[in-house]
Amino acid sequence: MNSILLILPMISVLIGALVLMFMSMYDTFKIRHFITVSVIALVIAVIFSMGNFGDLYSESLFPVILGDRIVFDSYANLFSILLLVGTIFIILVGESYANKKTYLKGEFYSIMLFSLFGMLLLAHANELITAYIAFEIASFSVYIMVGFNSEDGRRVEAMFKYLVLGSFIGVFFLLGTALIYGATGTTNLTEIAEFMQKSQENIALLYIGLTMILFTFLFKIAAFPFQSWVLDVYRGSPVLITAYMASVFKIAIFALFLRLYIQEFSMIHELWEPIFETLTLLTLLIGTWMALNQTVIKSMLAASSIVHTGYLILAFLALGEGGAGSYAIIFYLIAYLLSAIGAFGLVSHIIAQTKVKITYDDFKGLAHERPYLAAMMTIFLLSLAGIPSTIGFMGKFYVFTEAISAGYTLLATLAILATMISIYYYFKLIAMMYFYSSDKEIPLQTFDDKRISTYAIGALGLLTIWGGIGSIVVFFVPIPSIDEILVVTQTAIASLFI
Amino acid sequence: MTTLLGYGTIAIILFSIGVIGVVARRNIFVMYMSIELMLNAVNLLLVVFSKLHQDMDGQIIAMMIIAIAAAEAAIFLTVMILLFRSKGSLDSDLFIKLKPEINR
Repeated sequence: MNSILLILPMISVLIGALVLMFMSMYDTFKIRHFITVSVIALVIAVIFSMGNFGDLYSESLFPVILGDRIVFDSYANLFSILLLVGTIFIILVGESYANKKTYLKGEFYSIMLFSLFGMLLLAHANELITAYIAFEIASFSVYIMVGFNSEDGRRVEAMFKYLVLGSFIGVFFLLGTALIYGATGTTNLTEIAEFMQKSQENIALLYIGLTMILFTFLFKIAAFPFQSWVLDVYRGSPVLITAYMASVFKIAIFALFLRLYIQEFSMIHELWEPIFETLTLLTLLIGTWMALNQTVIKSMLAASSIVHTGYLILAFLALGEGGAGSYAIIFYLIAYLLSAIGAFGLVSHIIAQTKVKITYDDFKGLAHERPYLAAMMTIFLLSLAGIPSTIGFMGKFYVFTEAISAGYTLLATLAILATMISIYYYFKLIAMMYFYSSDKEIPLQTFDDKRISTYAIGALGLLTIWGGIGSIVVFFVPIPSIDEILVVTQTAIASLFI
Repeated sequence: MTTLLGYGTIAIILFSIGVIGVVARRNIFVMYMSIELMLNAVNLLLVVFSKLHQDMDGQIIAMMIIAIAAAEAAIFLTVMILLFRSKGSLDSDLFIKLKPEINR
């Protein structure tokens, strides 16, 4: 009975996806109906997840039938809530984009919810094959969403590149799983961890298998040797999907691999330490170099997401025994989720009204024409750059603190240097908005906007600011502060060791 | 034991052929077939390990991988139809719309 209660969030997402699929057969439904239904399904899922929020628990689902394959713990619960809230925000922020682009039909939201189902399964998976299936459910849906506009050659090309590279690297995950199965005779994460603690035989095969799985991880988060697909795919896909891939999908992958890292990989940490150090350095370097050279805003945000990956790998390096530093990773993911959805979503909001591909020059004079949007974009960019009073600063603060206390002072210094350089390409946009006058004559916009996406962007901006100054104003106004997020993340990590 | 080792070696050789096929060939259909070859090499490896451990898990996993490969085939064929419709060829060098402006 308890298992059924725990699985309800996933079930409601799945039912929402099926309902949307049936709705899309009829022409009478408009895009706003699809948005309403998908948001209702997701909000119901969030309400079901909230029931256990903050508790410390770990249970496996239907242990008699499924074995220990799908596990429900505070960790998976926290990540499910993040994924669900992120998707709600993407759907709401993309409302004006979806209304303008006629090719986005109802099936689109159905596929999005299916991929979200895969990601939720990924956060709950406690077995490598379950993780692979969940991973492929999510990836296949994302491939289809990238190429959803099959009339546009660029979209199909982006889909092709992502599909070939993604399934190529996915096979390495399977090879790793097969080798681990060969070495240990099981694919269950808990049993593998037990095997590693007591046995020293067959360990070479296990190392190779885990390294293969690491390849998949590095590809999906776009770390150094596998970063080149990001620019092409992110630039070729609709900006709404770019936001989805850059924020929600990335978090789902981190949900699986943080679990893997804390349970399995930490034992072979010594082997990988020099590799990870090099990867951090090169990811930061290449990401910064790529971001400096972009003129299109979408590409700049895509390239800067590589730099953010670099900071996250640094946090992985500083994880330490028992995952003591993992709160920094989760907090950074929350910060990145909010600011990336905000920045990409705001670009989609602006693209919905114009035909141009948004470059730096198109942002000239935005502060004069649309002061509200310019202010919001400034908040998201400040947060991405890590300026105090935004949540991005807190995220970077925790990551660098953990890195320095774990003894990686040099790498942390380099990461701080990368942050300083990142101010150039983020603040260039702010300067364009505030200090240049527009080339074109666009009528001034008064604030009588009825579109939902405007308010969703505002809500994201408020959350970003609250994350930065929440712990300061808590003395004056009784609202939940950052410390409570940290407590929740610590509970989540503790639930992995029950 | 020695026969099992031989089958494992064959699996790894097949996997390597698949990797080379994806990296070196320019035809998209051949790339897809190479990825399928890699998947089947993993299947063979799983069955070998399943026999080694005297345990059915590996063979069940192999069946699941076949199902996943079928789903992947559907998406791959869709992409190939879309790409062929736009250019009339499946040479992957023709699809350069997303190349950065700097290199062009």
